Amino acid sequence: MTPLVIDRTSSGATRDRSWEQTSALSATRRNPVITAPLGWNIGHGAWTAVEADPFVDPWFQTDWTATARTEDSVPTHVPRDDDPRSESDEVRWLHEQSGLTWEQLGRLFGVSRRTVHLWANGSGMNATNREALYELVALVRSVQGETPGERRRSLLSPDSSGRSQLDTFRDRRLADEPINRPAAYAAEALDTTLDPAVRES
Amino acid sequence: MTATPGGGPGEAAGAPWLSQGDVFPAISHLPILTAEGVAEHTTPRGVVVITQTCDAIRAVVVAVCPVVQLTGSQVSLASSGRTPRYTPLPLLGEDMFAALDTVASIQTEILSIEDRIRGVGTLVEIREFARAIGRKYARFAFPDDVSAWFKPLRDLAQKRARQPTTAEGVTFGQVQEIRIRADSGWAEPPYDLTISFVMKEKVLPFGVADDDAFGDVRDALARYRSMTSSRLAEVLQAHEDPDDAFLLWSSFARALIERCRAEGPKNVISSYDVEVVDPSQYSLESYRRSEALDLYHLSGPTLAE
Repeated sequence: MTPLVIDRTSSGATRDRSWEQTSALSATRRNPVITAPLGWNIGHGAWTAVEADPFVDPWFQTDWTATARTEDSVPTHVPRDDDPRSESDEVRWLHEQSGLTWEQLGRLFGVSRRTVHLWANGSGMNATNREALYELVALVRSVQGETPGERRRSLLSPDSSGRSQLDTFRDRRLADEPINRPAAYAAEALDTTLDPAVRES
Repeated sequence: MTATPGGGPGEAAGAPWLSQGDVFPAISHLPILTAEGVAEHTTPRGVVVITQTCDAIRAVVVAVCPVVQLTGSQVSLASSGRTPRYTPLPLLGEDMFAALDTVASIQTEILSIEDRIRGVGTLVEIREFARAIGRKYARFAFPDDVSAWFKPLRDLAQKRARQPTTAEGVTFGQVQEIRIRADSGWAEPPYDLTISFVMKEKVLPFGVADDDAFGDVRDALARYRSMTSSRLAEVLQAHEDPDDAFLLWSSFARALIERCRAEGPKNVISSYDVEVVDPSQYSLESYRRSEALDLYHLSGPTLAE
């Protein structure tokens, strides 16, 4: 499982913010959590963790210290030290820098465009959406492009399988099966392996 | 009430004359299995078929519920859908209902020799009857602690249902459905929720069409956040600015949920989003990943009379 990295340095301000995020996320998520301090080389090479979060259930803790990580394995949702921002700031930045509309952002999060706009104005987010926000911010930071329009094109460009980075992002959110399956009725009606009485009922 | 002759006896292939919502006034009791054995549940007003019509016409056995006559305030509460264990049978009278808590099976051969009348007539009544049965039996079983967490909202909804002309009552009445999505799954608490207030059609203003025209509303949000839900409802009912109305609605919904957070059990809900959505904007994806919170059906079952 990919570790969920909350903090990447031991610097005070960032770490304080990260502890809050860690607490919120640890309460709801089962990902292994590494807090700090980590190496400085995120994004540029190997890094290590030297301390696991003592507040996380030991069952979920993973000691990553002994394992050198490469750039590829580093989760991308790490807030930048030099640019501490609130969640609403992050949402505004995302809207301005990604080139995506409120409507598109809403679809990525599974909420209405108005809801994303309210997040940008300080209305609270739940922990899952907060986690997704940082992932998306990091994704936007990582794509090529000097302008929002260029970044938008990069985000929407399909790879060799025809899926864009935003498709992949959304796929993760939709990984669980929906609890209601109205569309399945149509599929069942077309399923010739089913008992005809079932199809016709 | 005009009796319709039933089909002939011994139709082994089913009962093509039978429909959901058919009432059999002369069937005066149903068998109920009790600790002492099979007992008779008296049904002096008869029974009504709840099996779906396309199943009933082929069935040898169908499910029926007692028909009951309600009195007093029970009639208005049940008619407005606020006591989901009862659903109206308008062709029998405005105080006549199907009592969905008690169900028994009857052979269609027996029904074929009984007088039959319709309990529902128009397409709307037929659909409403079917929907009420679905609501009763297909609703999602929220974890008990989640139901307890939403109790303050249920209490307020029921209080305002009795005061429909107050600003908060009017405002509450404009909410079509409250849908809950557990973003971290329902496997175990604490849960991470998205709570969507899906409004009735035409309640939310069309508002700003241009996506980029959304402005800075932090000051307005901060102002509304300091108000109670009843005060927000008063302001909302007197307001005309479309964008401001949306902020008021969002603040109203959040104030209601804040009440649950303050009064409900702790360590059940870890965090939540609250959104107010026009039905034209609520996606099928959101619908499939959420469950309706039935404010009038969160408490435990009760025995039908």
